[in-house]
Amino acid sequence: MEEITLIALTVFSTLVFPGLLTLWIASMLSEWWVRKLFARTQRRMGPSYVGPLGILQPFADFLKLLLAKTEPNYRHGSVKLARIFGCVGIGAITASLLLLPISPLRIAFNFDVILLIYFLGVWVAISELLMSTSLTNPFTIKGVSRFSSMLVVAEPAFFTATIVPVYLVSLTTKGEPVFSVSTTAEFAWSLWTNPLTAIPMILATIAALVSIQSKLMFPPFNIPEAEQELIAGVVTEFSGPLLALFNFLHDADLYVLSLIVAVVFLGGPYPFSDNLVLGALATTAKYLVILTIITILKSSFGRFRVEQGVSTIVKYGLIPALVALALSIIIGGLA
Amino acid sequence: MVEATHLIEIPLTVEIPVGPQHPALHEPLLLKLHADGERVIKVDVITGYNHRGIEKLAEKNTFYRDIFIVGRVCGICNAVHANCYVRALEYLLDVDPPPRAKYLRVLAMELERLHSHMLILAVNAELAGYETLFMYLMKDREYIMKAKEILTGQRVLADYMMVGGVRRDIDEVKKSRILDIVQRVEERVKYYHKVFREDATINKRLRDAGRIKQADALAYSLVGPVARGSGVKTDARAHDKYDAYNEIPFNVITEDYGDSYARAMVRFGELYESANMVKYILTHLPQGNPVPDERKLPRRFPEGESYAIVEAPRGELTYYVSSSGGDKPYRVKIRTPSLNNIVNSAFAYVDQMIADVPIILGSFDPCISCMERAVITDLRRGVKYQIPLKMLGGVKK
Repeated sequence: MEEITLIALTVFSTLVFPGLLTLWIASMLSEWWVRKLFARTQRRMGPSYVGPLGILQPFADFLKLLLAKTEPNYRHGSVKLARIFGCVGIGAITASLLLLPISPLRIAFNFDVILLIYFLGVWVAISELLMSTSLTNPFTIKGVSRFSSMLVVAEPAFFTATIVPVYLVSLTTKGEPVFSVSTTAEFAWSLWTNPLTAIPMILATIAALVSIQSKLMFPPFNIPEAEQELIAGVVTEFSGPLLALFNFLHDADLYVLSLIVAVVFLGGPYPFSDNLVLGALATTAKYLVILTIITILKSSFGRFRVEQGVSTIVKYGLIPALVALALSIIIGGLA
Repeated sequence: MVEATHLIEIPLTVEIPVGPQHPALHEPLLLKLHADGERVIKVDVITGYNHRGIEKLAEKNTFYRDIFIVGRVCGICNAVHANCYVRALEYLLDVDPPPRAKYLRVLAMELERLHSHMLILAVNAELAGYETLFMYLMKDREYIMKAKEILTGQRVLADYMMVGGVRRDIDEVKKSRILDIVQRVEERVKYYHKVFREDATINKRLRDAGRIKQADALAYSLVGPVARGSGVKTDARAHDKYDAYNEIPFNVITEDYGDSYARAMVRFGELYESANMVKYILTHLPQGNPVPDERKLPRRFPEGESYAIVEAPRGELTYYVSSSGGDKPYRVKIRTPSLNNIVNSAFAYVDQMIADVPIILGSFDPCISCMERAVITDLRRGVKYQIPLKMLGGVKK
């Protein structure tokens, strides 16, 4: 009986909450938030036709792409391969969601943060890159080469930053399991109240935000899909269902990365950890704050050149993350 | 053993077409980039996607109809095109428009310069990926379009010039409305100037992009803000003093460095100058009737030829009109600034990054519809000696 319950819970968690269905809805809503806010900062209307305040516009766009058009045949590319890598990316994001404490199926064990790095850092990035290279043209090649140059510094920056709260929590609290995402989420708030750990936390949060901006190809790091230079760069060859898949992958990445910052860095439901509803509201509020910061950063910059972009990520992403980690290790030594 | 005498390096290049349909270009033009990694090693400028046969059309229509045709060479700078052509006709007929008409012509042309420069500065920001700044600049540009509508009756295609004067007069209410708009927009321009000076992305992208030295600007006959950005003090308004430019005070703005940033700064300087000129005109407008009676204008033109010059927002624009005596011109020859600036400036892209190409092109303020001719250009320049690959077979041992 327990096994059946476990299987049912696994299926529910993977497919419904916080898995695929919730991921899709949350990703589309996040896209709407970013689009609407971005438009308002530019004195534009933004999405406004489908649903109240255009909230259903991303859903309509997704369905339109999914249903209305068929993919063309490519002589030197493989749509099937692109589709497979798109699904692998979505799968990796869904799997990483199960590690977060919002999941009914709690997967938590010692050092599970490594699994998060493996899913989000390795597989999502690789899927995006390989999805693009499956359908090549000069613009795609340029876009992929630019994207990989940026990921080389952006991924280490994000995960060094993520390790900071994970390490500090396992150092300062007696939470079990150690080096685990869910334990970190539970105790992350305590790091902000201690002045000693607050400094590396501030640095790590800044580093995480900068690297998220670059992983998502948002300005000033929209170098791989620079419209004015490379048509659409990595996205150039996508159309129809494939574009819908890529957009979903991108939005899901936005959702999960922002959620990780809200939960792992800012402590998720804190200060309402005991109340499910208020806790969920607190997590959502923190999540929306992160999305808003990302959108404001997006609207306040132009685009760097690739080498300027990489040096900016090193300067404001990788170096703060490494300094934060070094400080954490020193704090660990003192403790 | 045979010693090697030549080192032959074959650059591994990727050919990237920018255009003829491309998001960076708002009009059809093909820049064929040959890139080694991110570095551009050669650019071919290929035009001819928008040929409309305007000059031939002008020969087929009467002198007066042609005023409307030349106004449609370019949407953005239609008043200067019409002004230049109308003045060429006036030189033929030996007509001198009244002072009030001359002032109003300058007013229309300076309003046009205001919105044209705001447009290209917005496009510069957009090409640097700064969408927000683009949206803001375009919104404020719209007020200038409104001012142009108050003056001429049309936002875009003014059709304001006529032989011997202008088509509409202006009253006190319109004067105060235009003055109010220009004063408001001037404040916004000051803010955008500050953004261009201080913003990290704009500075990093525009500085050092497509630098043109003063000697190169002169050697390649570059004109307008592109030449002035390289320290060449050339301005048809200052040295030709046509219409009322001899009475209205203004400065010729130049910058020395010659990069895309310097060109943007020249345009900002000219925005202030144009705004001051508009304010001066509106407060010092001479009395009189600027609208001539169309029925009294001669149908047939005397035999002869004339040449008129005007400083368009993009640089020096000239019209040559030849009349063989009749109601149609024998030949109308238009020499537009974009033709000079775009076709002759391919050297500016060499050794730059691919990412800089749209920015450099944007900083030249291209107006493709102005420049469609059959032109053959040889663009292979630079320090290293290069030969085509097919010639390699002929290299002697």
